[in-house]
Amino acid sequence: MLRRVTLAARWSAPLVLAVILSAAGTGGPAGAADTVLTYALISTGTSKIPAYTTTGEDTEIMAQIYDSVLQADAKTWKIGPDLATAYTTSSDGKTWTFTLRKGVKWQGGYGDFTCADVQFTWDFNKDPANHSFWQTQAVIVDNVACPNPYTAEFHLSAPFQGFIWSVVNIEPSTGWVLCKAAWDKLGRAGYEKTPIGTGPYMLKSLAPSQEVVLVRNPDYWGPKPAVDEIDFKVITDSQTAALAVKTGAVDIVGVNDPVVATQYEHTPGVAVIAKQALRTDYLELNEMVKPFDDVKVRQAMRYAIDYRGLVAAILRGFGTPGYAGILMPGQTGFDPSVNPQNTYDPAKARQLLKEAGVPLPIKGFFTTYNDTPDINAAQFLAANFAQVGIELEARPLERGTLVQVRIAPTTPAAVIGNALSPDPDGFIGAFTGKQIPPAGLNISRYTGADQLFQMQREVAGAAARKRILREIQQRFATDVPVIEYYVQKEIFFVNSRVHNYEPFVLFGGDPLAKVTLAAK
Amino acid sequence: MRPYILRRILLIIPLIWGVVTSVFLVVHLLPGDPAAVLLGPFATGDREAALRHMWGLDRPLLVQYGQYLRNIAAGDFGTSLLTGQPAASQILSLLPYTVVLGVGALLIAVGAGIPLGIAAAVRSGTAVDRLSLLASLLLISTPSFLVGIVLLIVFSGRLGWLPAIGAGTFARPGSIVSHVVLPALALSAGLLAYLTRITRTTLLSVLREDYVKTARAKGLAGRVIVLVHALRNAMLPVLSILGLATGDVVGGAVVIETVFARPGVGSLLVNSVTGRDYVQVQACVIVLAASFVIMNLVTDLCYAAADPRIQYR
Repeated sequence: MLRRVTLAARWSAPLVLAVILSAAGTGGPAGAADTVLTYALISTGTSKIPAYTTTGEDTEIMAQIYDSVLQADAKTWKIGPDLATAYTTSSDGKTWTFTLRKGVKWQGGYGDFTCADVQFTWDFNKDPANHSFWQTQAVIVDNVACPNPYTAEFHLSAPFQGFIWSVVNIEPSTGWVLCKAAWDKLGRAGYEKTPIGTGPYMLKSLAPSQEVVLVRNPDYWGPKPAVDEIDFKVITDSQTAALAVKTGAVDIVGVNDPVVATQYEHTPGVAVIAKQALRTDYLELNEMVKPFDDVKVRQAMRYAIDYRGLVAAILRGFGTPGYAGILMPGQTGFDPSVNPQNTYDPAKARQLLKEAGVPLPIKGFFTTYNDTPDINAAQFLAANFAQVGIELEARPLERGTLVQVRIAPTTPAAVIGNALSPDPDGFIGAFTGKQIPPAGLNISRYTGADQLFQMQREVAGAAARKRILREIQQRFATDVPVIEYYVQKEIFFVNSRVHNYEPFVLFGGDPLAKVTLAAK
Repeated sequence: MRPYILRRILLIIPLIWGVVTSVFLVVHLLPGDPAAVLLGPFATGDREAALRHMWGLDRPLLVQYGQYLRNIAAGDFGTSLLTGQPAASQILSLLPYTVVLGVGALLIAVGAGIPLGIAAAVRSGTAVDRLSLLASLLLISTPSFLVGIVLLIVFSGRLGWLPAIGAGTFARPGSIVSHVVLPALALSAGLLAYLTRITRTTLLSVLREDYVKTARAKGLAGRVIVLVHALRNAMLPVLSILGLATGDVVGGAVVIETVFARPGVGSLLVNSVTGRDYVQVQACVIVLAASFVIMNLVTDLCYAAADPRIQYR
């Protein structure tokens, strides 16, 4: 037998370990760590110019850099002053006049904010040559006039009561104001590198796929933020993000996995905030594909789903069943008398299928997203449908393939997830003839509410609009082009050192300037 | 040897061209439209068409291909469709983190796997050998992401010894080291186990050779026999595996980067494929393909260094 071989590494292992553990102490941030807020996102986004992005991550970052004409309160969703302190509307609803705030400075030394910047922003979004993602939203404004530097007059091509939501701090991002002087000097590429706003924070550095760092704007017109710096770090995995909050590596993260949320609900040092949002998942039924062109089949499918079971199993209680008439509480015109929550009644589903006279089983498939909660929800739905004789295969697809397959004319149904505005115009508009693919995402090819949609846009008076919205909800509840299966709560993990944090669950950014931090 | 090395380096050019062409065709033929992916729920036909026009994706495929080759020849890897940043600079900013993770994992795998394999071979049939077999089977069977999550929960979550997320900063090298320990351990686990078994098997086979018996009969110390005479011959298959394992390490890095929220080229590639960012995908593939070719060349040279009988012309 060979003599024992002494491994040279044996004696050096403790030494190596000591080096590593001593280096571990150098992992934290240097300097004023107590005034750095760390916020986790799933990416660093694609653009910091509001006209060129739709991602939630960019919205979260841009909300700290830019101000909007008006802003929605994170807690109450009520619209209040921001760059404008007051507004009036003309009797015909076509002219909106905003009184602008004086003494607001642009970041980077680009002078004072005036009406010229508001005018520039809207002209920019409207001009097809700029390829703004919001061009079709912006064209409702014929022009923005500036009778003086601190008055902005929006002249609409037609009256639109929901217009107010186009000038606030939520997507679509026509509300955030660009700096004309900075754009003229920097151009698009320069503005992308150095986005200029009037908000409480400025961009300090951006490392794509890694982190975005913002620093406090010393010239901010509002109350001075308590936090000096916001560090947006990229964490794509919910478990990792939750652990990072627990260890204090991250202060705030939005979590889209309810299972992870329940695991950390009672963890010391971690506050789990769940807030009801206007975030919904719905199944669009393609009326071009038989037998989904039969309204009784669609109605049957709506009764076939165990909504409460779905919310309990998939959302772990972080949500509510969806609504028959698609609008939901918190949206203008929501009327529960004609738009109740969807109910589970498999016996009624079978009865409707019998009345429809379609041979069973009905076979087909529906597309969905390929993340875990959506896959689980899809399997739950498929099982519910199978119980009444509708065999729809759930097909989770990666995003690139999904966006193509779901709009194909032969795809029977598709799941869409959406974060909505309190004004229902955009959501209803998504189910009109003009949005039939490839033009949009009206996968159901439904046109039953087209006229009513136009009427609610143009009618004068809130009461009259409410009546039309009520009728729209009735129409959707009867025709069932869409089955809204749940409305989710947004879930946030917050480290216990964070105070005064109010998540903004509309498609906008949190008011992080109000956050304070206890010492670590 | 020099002409051989030169030939191998020159061969990179047609190889990269082949890879670039294949990837170009594959990404453009994949279902899915980058404009639709970017716009998400706000996608409309007009917006998608405007974006595709801005990106030049509405031109004939052959025209796009020709333009792309011209740009590559001029050293221009293009601009990411999703972020608008130069594709090359995105890779360069992330490559150091991937290299640190890959090198760390290889060092752990080699530094622990080979000695453990040696120990198992010289103590063949004993408890040490059996324990190493059990540990190897466990590590090979456990997915790296699971190893990573367990390490994260124990050493970061519970003990607080090491950071949970991120990669540190090169301005503070200590932070780079502390942030790479757990991810490198997780990434190295499978390769470490594999190297242990291969080293044990090949060394055992070499130790039965006649020249080893001769060396033993001459009275040479056991350590000298194993480390000086036997190990070098046993290393040849291990070197081949290491060369191939480099690819596995980069591939496995994607999962580990996600678990530990580390930046890296692997994650960049996956996100680019998902987002149909053709430009970024092509740039990443060029860099990775060139890396594999260079690693294979290095492996061959190590082979020649280990075995003087091997001569390249």
